[in-house]
Amino acid sequence: MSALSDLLRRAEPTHISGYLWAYLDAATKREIRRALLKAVCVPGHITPFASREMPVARGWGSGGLQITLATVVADDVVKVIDQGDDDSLNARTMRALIADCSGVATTTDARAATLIQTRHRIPEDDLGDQVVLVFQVPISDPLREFEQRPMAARRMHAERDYAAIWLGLYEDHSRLNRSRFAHSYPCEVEGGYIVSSTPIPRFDVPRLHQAPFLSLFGAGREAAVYAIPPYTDVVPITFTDRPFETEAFDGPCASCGSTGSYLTEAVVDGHPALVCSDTDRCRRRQAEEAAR
Amino acid sequence: MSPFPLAPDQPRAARVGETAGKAPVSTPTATAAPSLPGAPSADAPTLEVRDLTVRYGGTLGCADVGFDLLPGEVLGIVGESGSGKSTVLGCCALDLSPTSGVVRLSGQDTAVITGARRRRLRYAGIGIVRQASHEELRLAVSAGGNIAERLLATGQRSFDEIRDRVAEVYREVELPAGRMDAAVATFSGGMRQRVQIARALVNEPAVLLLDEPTTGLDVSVQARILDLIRRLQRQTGVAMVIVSHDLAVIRMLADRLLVMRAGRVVESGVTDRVLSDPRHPYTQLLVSSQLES
Amino acid sequence: MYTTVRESQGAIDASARLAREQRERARLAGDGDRAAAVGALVPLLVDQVMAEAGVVEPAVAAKAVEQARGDVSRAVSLLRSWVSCLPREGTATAGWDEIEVERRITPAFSEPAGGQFLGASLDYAPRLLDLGEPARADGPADDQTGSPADGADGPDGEGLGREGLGGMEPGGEESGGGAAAANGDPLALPRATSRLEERDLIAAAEPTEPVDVTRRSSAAGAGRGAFAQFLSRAETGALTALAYTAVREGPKQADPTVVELRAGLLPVTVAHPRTGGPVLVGSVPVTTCELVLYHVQVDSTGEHTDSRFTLGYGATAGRVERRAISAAMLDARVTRAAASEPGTARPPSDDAEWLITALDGQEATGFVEHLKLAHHVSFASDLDRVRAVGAVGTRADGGSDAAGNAPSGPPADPLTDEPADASTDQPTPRGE
Repeated sequence: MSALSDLLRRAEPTHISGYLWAYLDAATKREIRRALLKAVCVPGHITPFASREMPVARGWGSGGLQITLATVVADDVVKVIDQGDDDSLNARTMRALIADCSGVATTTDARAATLIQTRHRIPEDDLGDQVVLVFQVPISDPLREFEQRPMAARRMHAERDYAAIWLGLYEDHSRLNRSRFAHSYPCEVEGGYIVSSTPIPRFDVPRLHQAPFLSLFGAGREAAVYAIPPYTDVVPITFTDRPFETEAFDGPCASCGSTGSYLTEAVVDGHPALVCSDTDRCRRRQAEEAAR
Repeated sequence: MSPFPLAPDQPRAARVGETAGKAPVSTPTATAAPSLPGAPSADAPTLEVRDLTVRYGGTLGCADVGFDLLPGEVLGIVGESGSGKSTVLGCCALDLSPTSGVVRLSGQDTAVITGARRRRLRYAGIGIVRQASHEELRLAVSAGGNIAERLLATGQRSFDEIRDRVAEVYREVELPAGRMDAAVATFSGGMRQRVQIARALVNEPAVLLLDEPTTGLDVSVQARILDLIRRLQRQTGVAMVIVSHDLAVIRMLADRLLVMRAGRVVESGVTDRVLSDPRHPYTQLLVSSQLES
Repeated sequence: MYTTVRESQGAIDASARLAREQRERARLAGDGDRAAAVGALVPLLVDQVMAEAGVVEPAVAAKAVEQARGDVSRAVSLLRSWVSCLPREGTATAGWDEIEVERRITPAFSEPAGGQFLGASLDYAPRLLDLGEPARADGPADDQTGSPADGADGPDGEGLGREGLGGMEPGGEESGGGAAAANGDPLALPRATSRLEERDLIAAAEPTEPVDVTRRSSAAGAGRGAFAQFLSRAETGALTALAYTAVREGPKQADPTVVELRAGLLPVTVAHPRTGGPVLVGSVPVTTCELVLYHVQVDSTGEHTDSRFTLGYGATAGRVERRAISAAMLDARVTRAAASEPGTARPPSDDAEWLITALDGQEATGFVEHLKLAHHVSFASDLDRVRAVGAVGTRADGGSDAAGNAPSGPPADPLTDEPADASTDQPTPRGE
């Protein structure tokens, strides 16, 4: 933690000591927590809040950061990933910022974390009910591509008027025999609202269903949060006779040999290869292999 | 095998005869809906309109309009532009809310149905065909998608069943084979009206509302669309309200007729009677100008 | 030598330190010269002015900023009008693979061939206003530069920082410092997009011959090359706003992914007027971007599908990176719209002609601000018409509302004038 703080200080001289604990003032924290409570009580409901300007640019995780800083407590252990990777630039700086202004412990091991802020992935370890996941959300409303007027979209949510999304699916299956949704797959929460599963890949979507952990979603630019409480039904919407498809990969991870993880393109030993996007778990598995 | 099952109630021919023989013909009072003396009480109207008044700010849309539409019946509303006929239809379609008066669909007062239930009632209970197809259809969406939307909106979730049903209805309205997945934007005006008809009937609504369905089409296309509407109405027995300024359209389709002028019903009765023996001066003028033209 | 964006806290440090050192060097270089001091204090502002002006001449641009008292639009105006009548001595073409790379990131791929370089960037530093010490003319001091802990950064970060630094010497015409150059071979950095092209996953518009839009009446209709030049000079805020409207559509419609952002010095070589041989006349700082739009489309007949990514390319002088990203976004949108069927409704971001009418900062600010000029003659003419129409009412017959039942509203509908008992009303023929 302190090492990271030091690193950050060397990266850019900040005087973060001049800021409040966990950056946000008490009133802001209270407001965000209230919005989060409402979001948890109405699973999947896009809940507005007065999003603050944060020390990261809009669209760079300002929503996730506000949730993290409004909910973090002193004995939390925080993990931050971007693309599944603890060491990506964005994750490092975000983690350093969180640690620096709150002094909480950080980890890369998802099993040890109590608060995981993530962009685009759910860690692949089995997560228990001790952890809260905070998702950075670029576009909160799954109706956005069908209805650009915010008030009309809100009414459609209120009336559970999702025919437009289903019509999109119908068109996809009629013309392409498959859905065009890549990431951000729309999911029905507890038989009610349809939410965007953020840009997590379809691979991660089944892990939201009846998950033991609480998922909080923050869209700072759009000034909205939503939530999926633990043990909640999260069902990717698809026709009863058209199965939901997750991403398919040609072969196992080139680094750890895993066949059951989400892979991205990388270079291994000078050759293009597919490797785990969850880098921490991949490293641990490599170490286990080596020890064996 | 028709995709549309026959309506559960009596065959239409009997009803028409009954109506024709017994319907009271009089200058309508403002509020009394034309009713059928001796009609069995179990035969609840599909659509009941009572004392319907709509004001747009200081302007009157329609006043004191009332009628019953029985299952399987076809009611025509005729009048010139601005006579209020589309306002009446708009209230029946739940597009508009009456300033005063009641619209009951299958016995339910539509005024108290709001939000999601209202939308569902629109999708499930009411089929509509509009003059301007883009008001009802999504032009960038395929013909099949436009038809499927009503099934999707009412909760059908089996792709194969939806697709089969859509294909069945698509064929029934005689649209060209192989174009079902083409965007409606690529369809001609007459074809778009067929898509609207298929969309309106795909989930067997209680009532079909047609607002100038053939206005603006070529005469030959008009005739074919009207034939289609008449055939499907007979086949399904769906109750229907058709609004038109064209007496020929009304004559061809409607069992009964309301003549509207300046927002009010000036005459009503069995179509043949009204058109062959118009009693209100305005109706007489309409009929005579129709014959002249 | 190469450092990937992963596992690179050292690289972050080096990147931020590089930015600060540049600032410090420039400040020292500018001592005693007001314009040079401007260039040193606000180099990105000067970059923006150069980009929007379409003129790369840092010292003059800094003077323009100073003379315009920081008004970007006015500084651009000064620069453009200064250069507009200078003789054009020649033209040069250069591929962006010739850039001496100081910064290269590939968001679409974690490990591109050739690696990623952060260069001098504050992207990854928290945006915390530094109120910890008194404000000084030369910005926050950095007492930690060169702190002993630097050694912990690791060799990669150090190497990147030093090598990158060389290429960013103020007035760095003397190339020979960029990361790729340090590697000895700029071609060692293939376009990251080629990975997608090899698999035939890219749909791109055909490049067209470069034209100089400053020597045409309009960029409209002059092809993609002219459009790219137009975008490279477009007003930064407007460019960003239009790209933003396109980005915030839903994920199925237009999901953009930046494949590569590359910045550095581009050597400019012209033909010698006598010998015809190539002569290096200098280098210009540029930023280029390639991005792709997710694109799975079925045409309106429902028969033909296209499942390739749409490529967009954007370039700008200087280092204001959102300019290059926004330009690439709009290029991709326009390319995709051109490939889509006629008659499809398009937002402004997809319409090259619309963009060309709206995005030039000089045209926009000039015309908006001209409203400050005296307009009493044309306004008197407006007044005349308003009075004349008001005097006779809105109807052709000059009549006012007879029934008076909507006195303050628009003319009442004749419907309301009907007597209650319609049956007594004589039918009137339609007035056709």
